[in-house]
Amino acid sequence: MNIMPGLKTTASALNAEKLRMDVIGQNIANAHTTKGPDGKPYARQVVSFEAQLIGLGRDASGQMKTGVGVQVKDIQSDDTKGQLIYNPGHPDADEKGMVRLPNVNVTHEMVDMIAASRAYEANLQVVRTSKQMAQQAIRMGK
Amino acid sequence: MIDSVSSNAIQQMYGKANAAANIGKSFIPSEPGQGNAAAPFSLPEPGKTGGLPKSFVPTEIPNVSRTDGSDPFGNMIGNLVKEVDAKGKVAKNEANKALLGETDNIHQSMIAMQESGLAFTLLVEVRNKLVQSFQELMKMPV
Repeated sequence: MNIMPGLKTTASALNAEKLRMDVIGQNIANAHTTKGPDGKPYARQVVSFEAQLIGLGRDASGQMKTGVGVQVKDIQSDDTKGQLIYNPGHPDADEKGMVRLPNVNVTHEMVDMIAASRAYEANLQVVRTSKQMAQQAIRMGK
Repeated sequence: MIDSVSSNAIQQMYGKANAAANIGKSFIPSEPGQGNAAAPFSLPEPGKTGGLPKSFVPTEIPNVSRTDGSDPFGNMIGNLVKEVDAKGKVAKNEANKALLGETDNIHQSMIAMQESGLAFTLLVEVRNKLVQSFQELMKMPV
């Protein structure tokens, strides 16, 4: 019984946005990490989404196929070089006194965070509207 | 799914209403003086009427109950109750998981609870409608 349409899809989108938020948090937390486990400065992580199923045509019972949501396809590292600054007192400075900072731009991360938060909100609105539709249908007889 | 269910339910109710109308027809007494031969019914064996005047014995039993013992309307309500119960159990599980910290996805729990609440409201509405139609019938002057 599917009384609130679109919920599975929306739930998967909420999951995906949560993971994106995790990654943004990780990026901001490591905005000043000059040495990771691999010895290099932290590289910014980027999340990419993919649709789980693109609904086309009809299934065996003649119902229209719909997508079942979105999932995180991959989390990739941003390979651009970070800023190089002169700081000879820094533990990770090279022999010339230069330190490679991570390529995280906190301003960009903030903007991404707003986007993730708004996307989460939009998906919550889908849930709310879906519920309202069902409630209105139930109220039809009153 | 709800659309098809409600149309089935309407057809069922319509069928029962027809049957009820037939009951009324079969109870119409034959006119006095016309004699039994003129009565439009074939009367049952004498002695099985239990002392009732012959003209008041219904001869045509409307086909309300099904011979194969199935009860589609009852089954439908039973299925609805089962589905609502299943949704309630899912919601309880999800809420438990969230409370015990087994999952990070609060939205899953919230969606499950909303869905189960809505399904229960639908069930209550169906029940109210059934009770209302029963009361309408009971109000009928005899």
